Amino acid sequence: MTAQRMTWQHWVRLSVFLIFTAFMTFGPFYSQLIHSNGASRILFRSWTMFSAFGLGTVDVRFTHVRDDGTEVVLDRYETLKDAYEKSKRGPRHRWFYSNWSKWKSIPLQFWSIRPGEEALHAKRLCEVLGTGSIRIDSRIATRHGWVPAVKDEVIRCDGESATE
Amino acid sequence: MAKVRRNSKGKAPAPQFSLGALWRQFIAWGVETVASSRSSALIRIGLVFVIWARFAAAARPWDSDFGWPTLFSLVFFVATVAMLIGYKARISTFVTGVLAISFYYFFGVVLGHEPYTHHHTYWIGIATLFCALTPCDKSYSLDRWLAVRQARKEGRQPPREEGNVWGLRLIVVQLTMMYFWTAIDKLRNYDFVSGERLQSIFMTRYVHFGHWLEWLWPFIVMSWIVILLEFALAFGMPFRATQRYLVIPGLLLHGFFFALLPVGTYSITIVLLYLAYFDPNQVHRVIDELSGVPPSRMAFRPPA
Repeated sequence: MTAQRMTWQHWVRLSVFLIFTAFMTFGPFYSQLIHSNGASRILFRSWTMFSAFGLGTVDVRFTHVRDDGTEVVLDRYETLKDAYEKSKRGPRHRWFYSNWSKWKSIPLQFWSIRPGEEALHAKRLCEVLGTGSIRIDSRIATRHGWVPAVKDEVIRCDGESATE
Repeated sequence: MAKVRRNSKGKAPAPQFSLGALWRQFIAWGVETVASSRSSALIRIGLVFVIWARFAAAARPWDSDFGWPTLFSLVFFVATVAMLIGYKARISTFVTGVLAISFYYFFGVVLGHEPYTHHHTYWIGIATLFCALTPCDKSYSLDRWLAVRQARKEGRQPPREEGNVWGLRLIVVQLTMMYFWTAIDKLRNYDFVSGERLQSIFMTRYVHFGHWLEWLWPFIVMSWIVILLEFALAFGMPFRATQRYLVIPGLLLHGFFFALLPVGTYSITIVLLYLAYFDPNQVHRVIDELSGVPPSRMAFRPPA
């Protein structure tokens, strides 16, 4: 590679290069470390990746407390999968059907739990299990890691309907 | 070559580094390097497809009301086609770059269309603008073909495929700063270094894997691999000695991002821009070797 001589084009090139380099180097310093909110994060690029994706995700543990007092931590996917398979055969749920693997074809809305829906899913489990009660423990994803959301909430599966 | 003075024990004095010498080296690397234009041209062509993948659907002229959006769309497609075929390549690339960066700053920041404020949108705009500063018209372009034909008509040698590659250096600086600052951001956040961030992302995206995602340790390992690799890429990729060990891990990292996460055109853009890291003359020689050009006829021979 050969070096170019110093001309006015060189000085223009050098100035533009240094301005861009300073912008790319110190812009994130300003927006990430000094003024880390609002439009400055976009005007002066901040390289935060996936800052919002996954936040608010709820991780729930359902424990089935049987009538004899024994406790079993439920795998809600296994527990609900059979019920889902049965529901697929009905005309109301025909749109769920897919030629792909039956496991993966189940829509995301069926599995994912949004904040505040833990009890709703517990009632769905109650419909399958029929007896005992469901104890709910959940945590929610935040910028500070997992934060406890629900602790030891119990949903009773009495007969045909579940009561809180 | 100047003779090196040796001491009484026959040893040469240790090289002395000074800030001034480093600064002059940086400036020489940044703005004074004339090298092959082929990698610039390949980036130019690749960027057109990335731009179309991201913006073409939104820029269709027949979706508009024949006001300024229609004009914007027409200019967009004329400029990108000219950029692809390399007609007035630097001008068309510059116009495309201005339009692409306007998606980010005008439609995204000013008008508040949030999807246009993401990293991959910024990268498309800034990479295209920097590409316009490279000699991307000197290779694989209509401009090159016309210049060669003109030279033959006039009975002279065709112009060399070379130019000042300061645009590629700016791309390298941006890549370096991206890796560095994103690693800093991850390091400053407890939820990432603890693995919980990746765990929650995977729980959102792959919820049907159920209890398999409850084990935290794989996510801790993945998190630290990402952080350390990004620091390594920031400090290692610009230098030839360390580049050879980091290219594959870097490409794999972006491959995993593309396969596992909704990153849009981000990964493919970065993989394309990795061309900017490599010595342009080395890229030229590799293409010559692929084409079967004998070493004696190569335009940029390897250093002795």
